Amino acid sequence: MRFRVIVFVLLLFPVLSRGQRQTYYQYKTDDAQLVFFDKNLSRYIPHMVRMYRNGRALHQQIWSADPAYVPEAPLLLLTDWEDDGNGGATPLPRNVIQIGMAPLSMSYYVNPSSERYAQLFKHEYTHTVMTDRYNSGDLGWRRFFGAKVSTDSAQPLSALWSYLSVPRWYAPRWYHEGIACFMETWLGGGVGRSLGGYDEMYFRSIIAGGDKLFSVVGLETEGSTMDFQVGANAYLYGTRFVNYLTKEYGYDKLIRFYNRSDGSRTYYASQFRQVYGQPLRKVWDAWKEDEKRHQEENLSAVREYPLTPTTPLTAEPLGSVSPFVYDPATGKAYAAMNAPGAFAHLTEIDLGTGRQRSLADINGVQLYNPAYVALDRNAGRLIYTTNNGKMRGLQVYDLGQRKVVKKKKLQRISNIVYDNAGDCLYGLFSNGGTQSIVRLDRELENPEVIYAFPFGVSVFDMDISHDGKLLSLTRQGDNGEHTLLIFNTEELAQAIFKPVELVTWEDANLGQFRFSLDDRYLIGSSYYTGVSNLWQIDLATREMEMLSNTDTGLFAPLEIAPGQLLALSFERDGMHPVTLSCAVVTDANAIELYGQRAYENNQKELEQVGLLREPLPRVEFGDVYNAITPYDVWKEMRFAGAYPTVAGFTDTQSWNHVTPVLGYRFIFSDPVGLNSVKLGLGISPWSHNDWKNRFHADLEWRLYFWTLKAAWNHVDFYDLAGPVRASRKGYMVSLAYDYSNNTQVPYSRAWGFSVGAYGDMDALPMYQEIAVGDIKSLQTASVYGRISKLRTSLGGVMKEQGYDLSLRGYGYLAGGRVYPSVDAQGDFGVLLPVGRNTSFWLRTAAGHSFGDAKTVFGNTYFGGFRNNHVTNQDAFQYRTALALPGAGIDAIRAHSYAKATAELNLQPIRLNNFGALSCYPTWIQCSFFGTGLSAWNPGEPRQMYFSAGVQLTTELVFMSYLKTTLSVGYGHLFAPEGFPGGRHGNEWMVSIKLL
Amino acid sequence: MKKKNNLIILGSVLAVCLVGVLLSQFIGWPVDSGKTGGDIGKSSRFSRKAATEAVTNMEELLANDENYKNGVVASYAVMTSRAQQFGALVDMSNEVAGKLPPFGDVLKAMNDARPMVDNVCAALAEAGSDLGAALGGEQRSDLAQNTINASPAYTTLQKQNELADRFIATTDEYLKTAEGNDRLKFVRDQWVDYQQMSAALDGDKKTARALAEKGYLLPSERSMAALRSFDEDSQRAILCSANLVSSLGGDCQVDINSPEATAAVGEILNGNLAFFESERLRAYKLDTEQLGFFNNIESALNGMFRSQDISTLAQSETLTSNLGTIIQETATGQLASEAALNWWFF
Repeated sequence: MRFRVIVFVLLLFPVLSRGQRQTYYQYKTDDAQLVFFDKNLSRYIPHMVRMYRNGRALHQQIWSADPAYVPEAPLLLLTDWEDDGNGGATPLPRNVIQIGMAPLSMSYYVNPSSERYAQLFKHEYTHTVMTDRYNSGDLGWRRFFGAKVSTDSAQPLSALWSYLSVPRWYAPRWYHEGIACFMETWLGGGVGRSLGGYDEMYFRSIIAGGDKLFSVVGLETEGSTMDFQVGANAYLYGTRFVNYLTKEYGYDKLIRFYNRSDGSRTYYASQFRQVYGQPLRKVWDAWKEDEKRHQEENLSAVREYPLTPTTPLTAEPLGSVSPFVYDPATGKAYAAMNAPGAFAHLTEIDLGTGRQRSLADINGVQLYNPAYVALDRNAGRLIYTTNNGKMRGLQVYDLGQRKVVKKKKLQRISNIVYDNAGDCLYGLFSNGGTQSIVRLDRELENPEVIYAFPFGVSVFDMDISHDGKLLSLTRQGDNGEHTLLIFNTEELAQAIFKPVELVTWEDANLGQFRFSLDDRYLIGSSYYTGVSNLWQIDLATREMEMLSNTDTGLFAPLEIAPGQLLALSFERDGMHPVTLSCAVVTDANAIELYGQRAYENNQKELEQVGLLREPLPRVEFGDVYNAITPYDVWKEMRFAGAYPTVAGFTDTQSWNHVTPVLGYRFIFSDPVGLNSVKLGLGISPWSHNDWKNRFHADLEWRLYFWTLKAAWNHVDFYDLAGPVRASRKGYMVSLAYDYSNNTQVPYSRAWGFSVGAYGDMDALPMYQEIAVGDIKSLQTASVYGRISKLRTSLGGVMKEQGYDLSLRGYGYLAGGRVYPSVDAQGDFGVLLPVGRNTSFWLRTAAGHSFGDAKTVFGNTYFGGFRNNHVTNQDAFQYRTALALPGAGIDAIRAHSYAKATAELNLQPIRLNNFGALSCYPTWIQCSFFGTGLSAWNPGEPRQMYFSAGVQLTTELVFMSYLKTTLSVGYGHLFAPEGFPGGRHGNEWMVSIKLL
Repeated sequence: MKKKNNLIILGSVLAVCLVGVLLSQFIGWPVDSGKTGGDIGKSSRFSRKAATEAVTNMEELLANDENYKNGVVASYAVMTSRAQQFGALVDMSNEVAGKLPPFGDVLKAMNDARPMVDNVCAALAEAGSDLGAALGGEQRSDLAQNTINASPAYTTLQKQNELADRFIATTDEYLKTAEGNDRLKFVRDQWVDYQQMSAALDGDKKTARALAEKGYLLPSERSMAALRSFDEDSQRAILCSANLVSSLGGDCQVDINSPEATAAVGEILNGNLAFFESERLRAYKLDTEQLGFFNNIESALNGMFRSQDISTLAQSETLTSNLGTIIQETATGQLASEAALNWWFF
């Protein structure tokens, strides 16, 4: 019987894999493999290839001093999964550069950009070079392993192998992003964050406010989570520090610092000391002083002329904020905001009273401009975008009813503006790398394209005039120039597609321009002087006039009354809404950009770095286009490395009931990662087990959503630490299908099923302490469904609000009998309005077995914290259905059960500047919990168990990317009379979660 | 004396000026030479403009993808023919019914739309010019934009199709009590043909059946005579549209293969049923297979690939998690608060 089951499972696998509907395509050469998902994108592939090769050639001129280095051809993954473009790179297990092909977001001009694919490849290829480059030592390890080893939490030793094969990957984020932003700028003719106005403004605001700059360790601990720009500080500080190194010590030293050549030190900080002759911390502190001086000089220059007075609308900054919309009839302004301590939401500010009110949560926000908001004054509605990090949707909030009245998913529309004269909505539709102006009726139905831009054109910051006749947009050119465009809506309706180019600025941006009340001007912002000031342009004369002189930065102006503007003022803790008079400024000094100082000290080198010494051979369109073929996940499978492993295996006569197993792991995979095989082989000849249990094999094969697992004497590394043991004697085969969909943030849906067969067992697969008696084999089947909506506010370390519901049906076939069971779990959490990141959760579970309660298969077993001393599972195992701290593992039996846990998670304490470069804690957090468990067993009275406890958790980071979590916990059990373990039980837990 | 005083004054002034000129060479005023028209300083930054290649590579695509090329040309042919036909029918409608009171409203609406129709034809002509040049190997900087513009132009035109229905209905109502003449009936029948093509392109079988039931009012053998009574521009547009329908395997009132039609083609069009000027474009023979491209191209040009298959998106989620740790270039576009992105670095 079991043989038939195994054969059935194995036969099912390849047949079912053919059900995948997605087709992939590729263009493959010796220097790259470009994979994409939509055949219609084929026409853009030649351009991608050209931009990639251009970026690579520029980098090869810089880093190719060592002829022994042969760059690995990267996988270039072209996707269209988001409405805003992006890029990413990794060297593990092979070089991958992923390009999100939509136009880049130009919010607040954080990311100056030339032609976006050229820019992205210059930036991302920097990451590739920084990590893929090897010296002879790295090469020796790569040859030994057969590949660059990727860290796998199931095999923690892989982290060591990974460091040996790709040491420079294990450097802080600022290290990587600093050099990448530096390179994107100088390879891009000066367009990039090294000369970015936003970066300049950020540091200027810190010095102006008397705040401190983060230390090099503090940046990784507090700096990555504290303020409203969570995650972006690595870019800001990294770019800044690299500029400083270039300015002070020269370009050549910078290249030596980053170059991985023979003679270079493995650890980045050691390499720093070798090149610069000083510890990194010391030079970083010197930069902080230099930055302070630089900003003080700039502040003095700006303040030489009178600063424009502004009046704040709120007591505190609001964090990330979208440009405000305003209703003059009510005197209220509206925007999307996202600040630490709360979830992103629509906010309303009464300009008369100053009262601020939260209207509705916004799901799926962006970092700087959380969402786009439009105001329908006629009907009193706010229309805003959701799911902004992926494919945007639209929602409508009715101000009168005070609720969300409409939701539309997958609209892919941003930059929305409401035409109150024409009673319709305009927006920018993004698809396949192109943008179109679309118009929707007042019900947000019947979208029509009224103007479409060719591929490669990037437009943003749209506005509609008050009379509905003019649409304005900013267009970005291939060299980073900005042009203000005007469309006449009446002409568009008459099929006249001739926008007017109002003004073009070559070396300064034109951002967030909106119509004045009389539609005679467009008012926006620009870093023209180096500081983001407000500007207006007269539509008739095209004359540009500056409207402010600020020492921080002003953005998103909106004329709310004749001569009065509402704008956003940049501060350290976010955007602060202010009002100011609309008055022309005639005198203002420019500031000096920090990156410009680096350039002036290294003019010759930085002017040359972006020029190709030899022109590249022309990539002919046809040579690429006609060479595109389908990507076959089977044909592309290849050897992806092998490395030694250590694991644990159950052995009742050994210390801790575990014996070590030495082994080797082999990995095969296609480059994209859709089809992968991991095969582990091991031996434990020293164990006390029978000889048949001293040989071990584990196979895991993943294909799309399918997973096939097979094992003989399954081992687990974390069994070495215990007390939880996952290793089992005997064989197992299972086939699982797990489908998940997270396209609508923060919602998630998952469902799946699995079938499995176990044999030669000595313990139940799912309960380590439960012996199986005479039954040596078992077949299982399960099906599950899960939906969740889980959110974390800025700076949170765990999920803080939402729900997580799951239902599972499963059964065992053992000894010729069937034992079906069902269980359900429901977790409900809320972010408390106390401090920051404090949440309360109620976690419930219930289950019932339909099988014979007299057998082990007809019951569920509870007990213990369920953490191993060393583990790769979630650190908070007490939340799982089977956990009951204070009781032994599997000590409590229940044929049916109901369980509830109340949990209070306190605000994490962020650590600033604590630790060493190679090892530092980031946060400490405390949770309290109390659990009640009702257990029913036939023929017995209902038993109630209670458990209360506390867990203290801290995150430790090693080598920048190896995050571990140390947990210490205590649980006390209150058991009913007659419980074998006694009425009271105590349990201490110490556990470290690796990777 | 007075003259001497004047000389002293003049000399003093000159001396002061000379001193000022000399001093100005040594005293530097903090003037920022980079300022704009006021005293607004511009921040200095290194800048080098690079020669950029055209990102939109339509010329290359046309040269390398026969199917794409045929589809674009087919689409263009259809759009141009129908735009010209629509304009001609508006003019012909005015000619045959301009003095008939029942037609006042519909003709006013048509005349209001007439400038738009001319704009559509102009946009299509511009696209056609660029397309023809590109097919001949020329580079046209606005090829992509003009070709893209053709689609919303055509869509704008299509919004007026209800005017055709209104004219047909008005004529049918009018002829219940009035005699009417061949020219009026011919124009009415041409509007039916126009709408038949609209239904065919939209795959609207129900409308196509309804129009078929309406049928023609003018017998086919008299249609050419009626056509010849109109000006040459109108004749040209009708003959070209009839040829389009015939190429696609359809039937219409004007039999393009009849001797009368052939004679008209020879006389008015020098034997060339050209939708456009370019020789190369004229060389393309349309067929039903190419018409299939029209629907795809139009939707593509409209950029309305709206909702991706959810399973595709879901697979992308699996894919991204399989790729392992990635440094994400998303300083401006990150979701800062979702644990699902713990894999990803901000």
